[in-house]
Amino acid sequence: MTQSNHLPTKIKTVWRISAYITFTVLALIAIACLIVFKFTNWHWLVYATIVFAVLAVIDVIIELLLVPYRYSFWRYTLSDDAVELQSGFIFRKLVSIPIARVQDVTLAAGPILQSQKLQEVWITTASTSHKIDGLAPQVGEQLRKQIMKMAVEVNDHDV
Amino acid sequence: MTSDTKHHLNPLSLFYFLFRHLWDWLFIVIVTVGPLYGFLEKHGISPILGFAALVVLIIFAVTIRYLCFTFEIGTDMLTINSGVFIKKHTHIPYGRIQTIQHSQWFFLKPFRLEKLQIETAGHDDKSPEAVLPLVSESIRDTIENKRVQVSRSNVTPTATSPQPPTYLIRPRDLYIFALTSLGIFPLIAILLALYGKLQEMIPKKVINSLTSELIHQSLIIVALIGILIVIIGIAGSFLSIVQRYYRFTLTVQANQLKTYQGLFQRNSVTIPTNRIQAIRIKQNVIRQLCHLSTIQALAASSAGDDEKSNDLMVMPVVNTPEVFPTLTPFVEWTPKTSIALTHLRKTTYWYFIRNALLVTVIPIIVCLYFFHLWGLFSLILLIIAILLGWYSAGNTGWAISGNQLLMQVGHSFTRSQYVIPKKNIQSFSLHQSIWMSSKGLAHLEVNLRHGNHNQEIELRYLPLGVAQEIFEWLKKRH
Repeated sequence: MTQSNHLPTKIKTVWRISAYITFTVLALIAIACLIVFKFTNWHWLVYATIVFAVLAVIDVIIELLLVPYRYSFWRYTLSDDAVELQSGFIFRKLVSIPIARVQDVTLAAGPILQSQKLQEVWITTASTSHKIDGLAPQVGEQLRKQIMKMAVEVNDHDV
Repeated sequence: MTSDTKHHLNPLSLFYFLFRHLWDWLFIVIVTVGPLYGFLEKHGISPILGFAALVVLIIFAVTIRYLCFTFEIGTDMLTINSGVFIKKHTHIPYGRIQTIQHSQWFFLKPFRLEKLQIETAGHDDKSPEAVLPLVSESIRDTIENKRVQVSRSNVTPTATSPQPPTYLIRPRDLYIFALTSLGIFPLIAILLALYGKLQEMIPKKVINSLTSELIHQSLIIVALIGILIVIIGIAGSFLSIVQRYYRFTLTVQANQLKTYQGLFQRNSVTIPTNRIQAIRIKQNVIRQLCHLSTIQALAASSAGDDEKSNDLMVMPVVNTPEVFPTLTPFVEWTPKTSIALTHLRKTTYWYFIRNALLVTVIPIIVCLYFFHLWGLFSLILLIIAILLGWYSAGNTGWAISGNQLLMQVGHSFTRSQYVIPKKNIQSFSLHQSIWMSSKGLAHLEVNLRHGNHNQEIELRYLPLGVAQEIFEWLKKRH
């Protein structure tokens, strides 16, 4: 399969959830600042509260607005020889990682990804490492197998 | 594993351990001085005795550390044992060694002792995998021979020429090299800063009484001091470079490159040529005018030439037209002659100049705001920016030759040309902004392993067609 693929649609949910979580964390910090201010009367905490509150709101808005943009322009391609990652429309980027150069593949899933039955994929070469935000487990597994096969074939990992 | 007996370092390395941790020891001594003194007074023990005990304790600790540090040169790996409480055993198979570096201070030469540093491609930050602070010179020979044996059995033996090629830097070249270094400028800046500090330290009164006398002479004095600082700067930079590359020698034996350099401390690095990730040919703008080039190697080891850059010096100075003919006998995969590069069209120069100008906008605004009329001097930055942009654009170039990609970039008045075998490119990418896509331009970035990190080399504002062509070429496996 060499046509380029979108990430699974469920990744949008993952991005949204993580945007909400960042919002919650920042909001909690803001609230904490406010509470501490009530008890101590440290005036700078008022500013801290405002800063964190504004940050929280701006961050969540931007993140949520970017979700469809990121989704529609983020693509990956698995071919026999390479993994290609494509992203962005205003700032476009196309990365190609020759499978023969891959040192290791890591599949990982935190609680949010687990809830959506997805896995994060890290592809590491001798110098760079690349992340695919989320893949269905069977695709991740296929990628892993392909790379292992290649690693056995190619023997010039000369670093 | 059949291992030989454990070796200790040379007993002189006791001093090494002592001095390496000197600051820690001094700290301990200083911290304990007060309480210890009080404690001793109280119990009527002579303080001298107490401190003597402390010194004995330190020596004891150092000795223990020395005794716990051993190494074994096994049949197929080198093992290093260290640590007093936490025992650490590092095993390094000879085949995995990237570079062997040894350095010898002039006063250790009569004892035939040296410091050995052995590096693998492991991701361990900063420090080499194995450091043998003070061992006999014969140890290095043993390890190097073992390594050659391992690589011989794996790789088909190449015909070794009866007389291995050797390169020895000519004194004249070295002097020219030292004189054309841009390193003078930072040194001058440091000296100026020191001068400023000194001025601050002189009491105001002294200055005030002097100013009236000096006021009319001050211009001459400032000029003289300026000239003096420049001269000291040049001399300092010159001497430091000359002593570092003194009698720089490069040889190749059994496909291993070996360099020697240095006056007070003789440094040497050994690396197999097939472990070199890429070759860099570097020239600053002055050397470009003198047609001199510096050849360096990028390797997956931080054995290097100096502080920040992990560049392995291959040849400090070569006449630019002779770079490749001189280099091929040493690194056989490099092109035999210099290869003509394709350069950017003049129309794209504007983007480089524009980007450089954008960077200067903020400092200029700040200067104008704070210094008003004097701030106009910051407009000089604009000229520098234009020159920088022009330089970068004019020196951007590329070529494909066999299985190698040649990339040339210009940065801060230094031109670097990289010769990169395709197999060493770890990943590569195309970047483009939406505005560039309408102009048909793209950046091409290539990632290489260098030291313990990634080195990206980027050709900026390439015509899209060319960028895609190189991209497709990189994608092909053979």
